[in-house]
Order: sequence, then C-alpha cells, then structure tokens
Amino acid sequence: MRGKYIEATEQYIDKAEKLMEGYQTLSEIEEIDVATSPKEEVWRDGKIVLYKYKRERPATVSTPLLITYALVNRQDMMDLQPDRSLIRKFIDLGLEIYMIDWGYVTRADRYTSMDDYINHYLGSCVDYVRQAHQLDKINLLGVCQGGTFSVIYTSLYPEKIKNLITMVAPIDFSPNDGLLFRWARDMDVDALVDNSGGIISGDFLNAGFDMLKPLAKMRKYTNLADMMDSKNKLLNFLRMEKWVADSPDQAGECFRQFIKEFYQENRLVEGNFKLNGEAVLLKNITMPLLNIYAAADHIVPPACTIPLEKHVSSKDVQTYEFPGGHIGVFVGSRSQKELSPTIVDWLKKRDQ
Amino acid sequence: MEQPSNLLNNWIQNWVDASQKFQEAIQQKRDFDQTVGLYDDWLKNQQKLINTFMGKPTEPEKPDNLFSQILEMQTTIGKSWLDNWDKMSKGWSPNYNRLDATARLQDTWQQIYTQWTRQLGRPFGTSVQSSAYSPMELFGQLLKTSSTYAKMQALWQPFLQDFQAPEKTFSYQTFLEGDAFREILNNLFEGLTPRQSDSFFEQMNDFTLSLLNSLKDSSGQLNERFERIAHLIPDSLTERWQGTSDATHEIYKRLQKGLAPFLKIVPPSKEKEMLHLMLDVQEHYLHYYTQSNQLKDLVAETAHEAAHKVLKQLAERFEAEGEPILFDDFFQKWLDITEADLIQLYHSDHFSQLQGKMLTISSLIKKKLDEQMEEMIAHLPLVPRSEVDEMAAIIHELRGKVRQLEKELHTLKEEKQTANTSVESQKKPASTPDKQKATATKASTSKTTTKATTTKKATTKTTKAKSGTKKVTKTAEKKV
Repeated sequence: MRGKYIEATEQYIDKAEKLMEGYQTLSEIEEIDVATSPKEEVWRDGKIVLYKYKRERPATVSTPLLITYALVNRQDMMDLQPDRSLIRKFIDLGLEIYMIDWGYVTRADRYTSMDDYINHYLGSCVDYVRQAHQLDKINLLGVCQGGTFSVIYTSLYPEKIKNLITMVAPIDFSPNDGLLFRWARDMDVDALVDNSGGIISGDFLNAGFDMLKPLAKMRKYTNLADMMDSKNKLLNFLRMEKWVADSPDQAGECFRQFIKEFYQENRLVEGNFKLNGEAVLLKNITMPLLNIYAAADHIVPPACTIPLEKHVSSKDVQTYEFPGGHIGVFVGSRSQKELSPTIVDWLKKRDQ
Repeated sequence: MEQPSNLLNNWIQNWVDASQKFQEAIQQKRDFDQTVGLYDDWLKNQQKLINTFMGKPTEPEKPDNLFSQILEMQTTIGKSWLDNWDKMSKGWSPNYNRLDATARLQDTWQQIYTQWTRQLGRPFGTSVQSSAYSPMELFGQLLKTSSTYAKMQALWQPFLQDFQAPEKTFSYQTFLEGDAFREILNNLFEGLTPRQSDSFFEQMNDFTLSLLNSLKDSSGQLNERFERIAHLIPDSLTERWQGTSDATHEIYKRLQKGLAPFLKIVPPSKEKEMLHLMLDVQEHYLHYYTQSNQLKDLVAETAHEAAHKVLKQLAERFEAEGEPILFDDFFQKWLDITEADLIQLYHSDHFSQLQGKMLTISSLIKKKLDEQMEEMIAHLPLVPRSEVDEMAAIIHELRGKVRQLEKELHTLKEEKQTANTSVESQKKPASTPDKQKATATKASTSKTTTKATTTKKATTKTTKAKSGTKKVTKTAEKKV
C-alpha cells in the first residue's frame, strides 16, 4: 500500500514538472500555422472565395471535386497540418480540389440568406468549375452544414453534379440524440436573431459546442500537462485550439432559416422545404451518393445523417461508417489511412 | 544595476524557487501533503504573475450585493437628474445669450445620459470573456485547470487516508459539503451565470428581510405586501425556485419606488422614454439572473449527486479489491460520471426550456441596451446601427437584382451565340467530335439558366411591389 502512495506522489510531481517545462516549450513556438497546402484564388464575390489547390502532377481523376464546408468554423480543419490533412491526401491520391471559403460575416451580411449561400454562391462556384474544366457535371463534397447545402443544391440542379459525397451532414433533424437538436427546439430563433442585430456570434456557438461535452475542457487541459514537454505534440494541440477559436459569426437570416426550417420543422426530409420559392425534393438526387457518418459523432449524430439514403432516388448509394467522432473524420489517423483512399477510390470508379 | 521587474524574470524566479523546493522535498522524502502544498504555492504564484502583468485583479473580488446596488443606483440617478435639471433651468435664463444657453443645455443633457448609462451599467457590469486566441491565454487556462486538479487532489486526501485507516469509514460529507468542492463547481461552470449573481438567492432573501425589518412601523398595507414577498421565497432546496421570479418582480417594483417621485415631474419626452427603457432593462436583468441561477442550481445539484456516486463506487471497489485507488483513477471517474450525468440533465425538457428562455431574455437585454445607446448618441454626428442595417437591407436587395440581371444578360448572350452557331453549322457540312461536346455543354448551361430566369421572374414580380426599389430595377433594365 505504501508503494501505491509513493507512486501517486511521483505521478503528481511528474505532472508538476512537465507543467513547468510547458512555459519554455510554449516560448519556443513562434507560429501556429494551419491550412498550409498551396492554393490560389480563382473566383471571388465579396467575402466568398473559391480556391483551387495546386498540384505538382496532373490529376488522375478527370472530374474535379468541389468541397463546401459548413458556415460554422472554418474549412482549415480539412488541412490542419501537413501530416493530418485530408486535402493533401486527396491531392496525393490524384484529385483536383476546389474549396469554398465562406469568409467572415459582419453586420453588413446580416441579410445573407440560405438562398444567397446555395443558389448564388455555391451555384456560382459549381458553374465556375464546370466552365473551367469544360464539363457539364462535377463532383461535389459537402461537410456538415455544407453537406446539407450540397444536398439542397444537388436536389435543385442534379444535372450539374456527377457524384455527391456528404460528410457528417445533418439531413433528418427529428432524432432526439443530439443536444443541439434538442436545444434548438426550445430556442426562440426570431428573438435571438432580431435582438442580436442580425448576427449570431461565433462565441455564442462555441459556448454551445462546449456544453455538449461539459467537462471536455477540464479533461483536455489536464491531459495537456502530459504533453507539455513535447514541442510537436504541443503544436498539434495548439493548431486544433486555433481552429476551435477561429469561429466566424453567422449571418442572421441564414441562421434563422436553418434553425427554424430544419432543426425545428425538419422540412428537408418532410419534403416541404422551398428555397427561393422552389421546392427542394431529395428524390431529385439520382447520381451516385457516398454518405459518410461518424459512429461517435456528438454534434451530428448518425441518426441524423444515415436517413439520407432513404430519401434519394440514386441507385448507387454507399453509406460509410467512420469509427470516430465529428472532428476525427478530418484529423484522425484513420481519416488519413482509410477514409481518404475510400473516397478517392469511390470517385475513381465513377469517373467515366 | 537592478534588473527591471518583468513577467519573464519573475516567472523564472518562481520556477527556480519551486524547482529547488521540489528537489528538497524529494531528497528529504517529505510526505505527500507537503508536496501538494509546494505545488499549490507554485501555481498561485504563477497565476498571480499572469494577473499582475495582464492587468487582472490579483485578489478575487467579493461579489457585491446586487439589490443594494440597484437601490443605490436608482437613488443616484434620481439625485443626479434633479441636480442637472436645476443646473439646466439656471442655464436657460433669458438674460444669457440663447446660443450659449442652447449649447450648455445640450452639454447638460449629455451629462445626464452619461451618468444614467454609467449608473445603469454598474450593477450589471460583467466582463465579457474574450475568446481571442493566444498561447498565453492557453497557459492561463492550463494553470486554472491545474489549480482545479490540485484542489481535487487536496479534497481527495481524507478519502485516501480512509483507505489506509483500519475502520474504513468513508467521509463523503467532508468531500461534498465543504466550500472547496463548491468552489471547484463554481470555477467549472462560471460561464452559466454572471459572477455578481453568485449568491443571488441569498441576496434577494437578505434584501427582502432587511426591507421588512425597516418597514415594521409602516402602514399595514405595505407591510402585508412585504410579508407576501417573504412568503414567496421558499426555504427548501426543492421549492427554491418556485415563485422566485414573482418575488423578484415584487422586489423590483419596490426598488422602482426610488425613482417614482422624479419620474412624475419629467414631461413626456424622449428622455422619459429612455428612462423607462432603462427600467425595462433592469427588470429583464433580474429575470435573467433568476433563470441563470436556476440553471446553475440544476447543474450544481447534478454535479453533487455525481460526485457522491463516484465516491460510493470507489469505496465499494476498494472494499471488494483491497487496493487503494490513486488520484488519477478517481479524477477520471469523476470526470466520466459527472459529464454523463450533466449531459443527461442537458437533455431534459426542463433544462432545455429554461435555457431557451434565458437566451431570449439575454438577447432582449442586448437589444434594449442597443436602443438606449442609439437614443444617447442621437445628437452626435454618428451613424447608428439601425441606419446601417437599413442600408445593409437595401444593398442586399440590390445585389440580388444585379445578380439576376447579370444572369439574364448572360442567357441572352448565350442564346445569341447558340443561334449564330446553329446558323454557321447549317452552312458547314460536318462537325468534329470536340465541337459536338462543346455544343452539348452550352445546351446544358442554357437549360439551367432558363430555369433560373423563370424563378427570378417570379422574384422580380414580388419585389416590384416595394416602391423603394422599383426605380432601381427599371434603371437597370434600361441599361441592359
């Protein structure tokens, strides 16, 4: 028993010493760089930018892939650091990649609606890529809320999309599994948007995300003491922290519509959602579909993602379970080793 | 020459001191409690250094009594308003130059507004946490977490000693009921409520009772009202929040009495509206405090029950296995069980609805404060947000129209080009496969844009009803 007691003391002292080394390690870190894959701006409308990632060799998949990320947080997550980058992996495996950067919303953008984001911005990016490659159809990959946008866009313009990939995208908002889905039902979104000057702050959203795992921060910082003596581990941690803190505000009109019509009324799967007056019908999706969900996703639970396959008319549907959480899909080791090759192989087989 | 005091020097000094003490402790094989003490000292010094050099208070401030502050604020506002009114009436003497007098009047009004706003903000002024990212902030967070970790260590000690005691009676109460555990919980969930309202319920109770005592000789009717408020405040934890909102409302009405006399002499005006707006905000604040405290109470209860569960499970494990449980085991279990129980609480209708109400009321407070601010700067050459919002709405609408016109123009060009191509192809006998492909692409684009045009026509019809934008549309159409 005495041995255990000494062991506990040593564990404790070890933690304290590592913590002391932390300041030194932190002072040696000059820059926390994220999203370093080389890219060039090819299209812009105001704050919205379309980037094309640079390639050293020609792409082996002839149809380019346009990626649309969520409005929440930034697309940098897909290219967090060189050894944890879905983008770099896609490029290495032969894809031509385009990515939409939604920019940072200010009060001037408060009236930007879902129609603007989907019909105009996403639509213009799709058209740009089609024209640049002289193609009728391109491949589209939507992430999280960007996945919902992709599904809506593809339902409206199926003739422009060759293959559709959705990653951890909420489609059916009726399940009670996720806390965000539960809380949104009791949210007076009109009051929230109108009283907040038409902008929903990124800090507000982050506070909500923190509450999903209320002791995660405590856990995170306790574990951080153990990695304080390693510059590399600390840099990995800091990159992730930087991404988390980089949370853009949301345009109120789009937020209002998204919460009300999806989280509260579940219109997308109910079949009564209209965008700019036009009915959005999931059955219009007929092209091959790869629907990726994360088994341990606490932000978009699998029950909200999987049902997409029931509502589309595609004959070629594959639902892929990723063994991890919402963020692990992008930065986990399995994401690099398993998920990226799966996506690229799936696209290659359908690249006729 | 003496070196200037700076963060790094002090930091390193604290480091050196702490390392020496740690080494001594290890060499002398001092017991665990002393080592924990050294670690705590080091942490406190680091925290103090960060606070000193980052401009934060070095000693924690005791939360002020909210209700007393509101009362004091009402009295100050009333008094300053009367003083200013007096000054203003003197300044408006017909013997003075009218231009000077007007300027002075304006100046006095500005002073009144400033004082009102400063007063209003005082009891409710809670610092907004910045989420701006910096490694130093991270280190501060890390220290804070480490401090919680160390406090949990200290709390764990009696329990660890129980493992070694022959009678094996576990002192849950020491762990759960002391101030230390409450402090840990407050630290963890401080974001749920403003710090000032930490002891909201007690403050409310104290305030009511003190008023009740001071009014013992007042008329029976007034006494009865206060008696009723006192009854609304429940004794037991289970009914703690039952009727609290009503009680707050009643108390607030009493507080407003402080302003009532001079509100009567203010003529109907923009100023009076602003004053009412201010009182509305105060009332909203109190409701917000009530709800946020209720939320915090739910969380604290759940966390207490979870901690009890953890200790009980560990004690049972120890009895079954006979092996002492190390702190890290306990800490992980505490995190796991508390988190799972909190998530379950967050899933409940009660929590979700309460949180929804709290969000609405907090956004309402923000809106009222914005309105007040606009009233206040109305005399200054500044563009208020509401006007910027109007412009943003118009710009948004116009951008939509420009896009629509661009698309229509594009379609027209394509149709013209397609027509020219088909005329040319009729003239030429055959086409290459490449050209066929290009034509197919264009045809497809044309099909799509036709669809877009149809939709947009409907939009134009709707928006034309708005007279303000009609002119712009027509001008643009002409240009096209």
